[in-house]
Amino acid sequence: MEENKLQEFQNVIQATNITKKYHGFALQLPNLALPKGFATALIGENGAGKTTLLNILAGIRLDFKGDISYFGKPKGPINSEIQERIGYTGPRSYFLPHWTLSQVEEVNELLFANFHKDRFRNICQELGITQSKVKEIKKLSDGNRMKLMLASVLARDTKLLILDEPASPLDPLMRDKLCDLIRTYLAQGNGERSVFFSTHNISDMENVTDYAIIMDHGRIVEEGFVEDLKEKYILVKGDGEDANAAKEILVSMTGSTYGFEGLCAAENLDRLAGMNVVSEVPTLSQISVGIMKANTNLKLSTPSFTTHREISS
Amino acid sequence: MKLLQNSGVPIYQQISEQLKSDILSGKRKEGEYLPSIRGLAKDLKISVITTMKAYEQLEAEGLVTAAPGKGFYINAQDSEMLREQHLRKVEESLMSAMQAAEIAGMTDAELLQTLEALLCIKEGS
Amino acid sequence: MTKKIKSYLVFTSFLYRLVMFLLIPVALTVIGLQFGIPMVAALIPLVEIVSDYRLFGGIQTKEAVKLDFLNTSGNGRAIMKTAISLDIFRKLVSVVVILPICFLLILLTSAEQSSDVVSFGSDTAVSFLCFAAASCWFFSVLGTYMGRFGSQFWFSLLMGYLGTILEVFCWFLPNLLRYALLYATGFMVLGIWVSILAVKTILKKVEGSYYD
Repeated sequence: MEENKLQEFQNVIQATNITKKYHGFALQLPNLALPKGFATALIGENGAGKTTLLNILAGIRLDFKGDISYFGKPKGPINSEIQERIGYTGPRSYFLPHWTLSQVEEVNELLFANFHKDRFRNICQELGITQSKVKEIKKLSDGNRMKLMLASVLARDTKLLILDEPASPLDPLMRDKLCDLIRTYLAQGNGERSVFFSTHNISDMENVTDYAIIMDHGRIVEEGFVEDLKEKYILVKGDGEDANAAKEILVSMTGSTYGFEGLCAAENLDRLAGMNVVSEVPTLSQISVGIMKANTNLKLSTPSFTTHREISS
Repeated sequence: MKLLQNSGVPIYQQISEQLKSDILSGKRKEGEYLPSIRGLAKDLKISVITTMKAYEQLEAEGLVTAAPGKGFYINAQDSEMLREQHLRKVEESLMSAMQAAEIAGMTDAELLQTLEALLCIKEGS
Repeated sequence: MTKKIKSYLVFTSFLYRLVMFLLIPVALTVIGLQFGIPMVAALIPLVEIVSDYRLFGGIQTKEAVKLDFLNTSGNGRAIMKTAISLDIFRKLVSVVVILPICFLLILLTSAEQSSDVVSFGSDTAVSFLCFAAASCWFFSVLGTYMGRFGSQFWFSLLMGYLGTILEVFCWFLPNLLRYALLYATGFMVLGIWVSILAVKTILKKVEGSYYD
């Protein structure tokens, strides 16, 4: 019942056959849908294609193939009207380095009709970046630069935020604040606002993630509502002697002679019967790492599962 | 509302349990709306989908009804069902008392005596 | 129009405004009084090209056109175009203001070093000033445009010196005083051509940043 219910949601972005090829890398997404009214996390290794995807959706990269529909409108190229309703922050060069806070405010006014100066000032105050009113952006720390980008997009009336790695440059306290900002943004939107962000800091962002998309090598390898994923996958831990047998069944695992830990698809849990294992509901971080591990090209050390007894004999 | 991150009980279940006891105890009245999903998520510092799942569970149990575009309101709690719920709680507690008694090696008579004694104390106070 | 001027000013720092609209005009005028108009005309390209890098934020340099923030708005391209065009126009206004003021001050003070200027008739004076303005504006615009092909300061500085040297050579053009207006027209045409090229190149780069 739950499954059906969750599929009833509308999508804020619906894209088909998105492809973008570089030498040695191809982003290929036959179908991409972001649920409206929720925060969606984009998770994946470096080079998985996260930034490329976010840039395409934000309309700052146009050399791709495929169709995107925004806000339930017919598919078509992005235009100013759509961009007006999207707030994007990213890790590449964003503001001119010599701009000051006041200049950022002025440029925002020039660029966006729905920018509110008062709100911008309030948010800057709230985030503690007013002291840098005459300070040039190049002299700001990465964290403050991030805050300034957030203040810029939050000071506008948008329907969708696309945030590329918003948590990375922030300290723990500010990450908590970032989660609050996202939740407040969603709550004020009353189901009409959505957030799409990429992150490597899954644990810090888990409590604000509703839907997760895990990418690898330019493809989506898993996606779903977090509560569903937590039922789909189970974290199992067991003894070293069962490791080799379990390896066949689990999505991925890590282990040593003392024991193993891995991610198991719920439907395969029965096949672990007879082994001495304990199971746990995984965190989003554990699910993500487990799935990424199963798909990566990285040479993770593959432990040889010799048991205690074999060692001692 | 108190939520424990590492209790082993999923957050959504903790929320639905607490809302359920609020409803059954009459703390939240019939016809009243539950807080908005995104508002509650914001206040509890959890994700929207978690609150949504908690509400859906309450809905599945027949305690609340979803009004599209408006939220979830609390159903009239049928007194028969309410009594049923309470009875189940009593049974659960007695079952765990019985288990404990078995571990302690108490006889059934001793267990009954203890219960009677406790009832006496309660009446006396 | 206010919005257009704002689009330009927003790319300039406070320091840039202070330097370009106040300090440099004053300094150049003082230099002009001492060393004459040709000296001022020769210094203008250097000053313009270097300050463009230092203060205008190197808006024309390689990195500057990859501003994701501008690209997230449909107005980004238009604002960039206005800013670049107005900056080129501002360069022209600067020379057209600075040089005549300089000239008048020289006349009024009859500074010895510029006795040749004082002897000009009014016709010659106008064509002389036109030549000075057109040529040094052309080299300023050309140098700024060329400066974009490098992203380091030394490159801008090199372009600046080059502009200055070329401007100095211009003062040795054959029959300068007689053909001053003709030369001036030639430089204006060249200047406008480079300006259009500069704006087009920037827009192409901004456009390209969506497709890199």
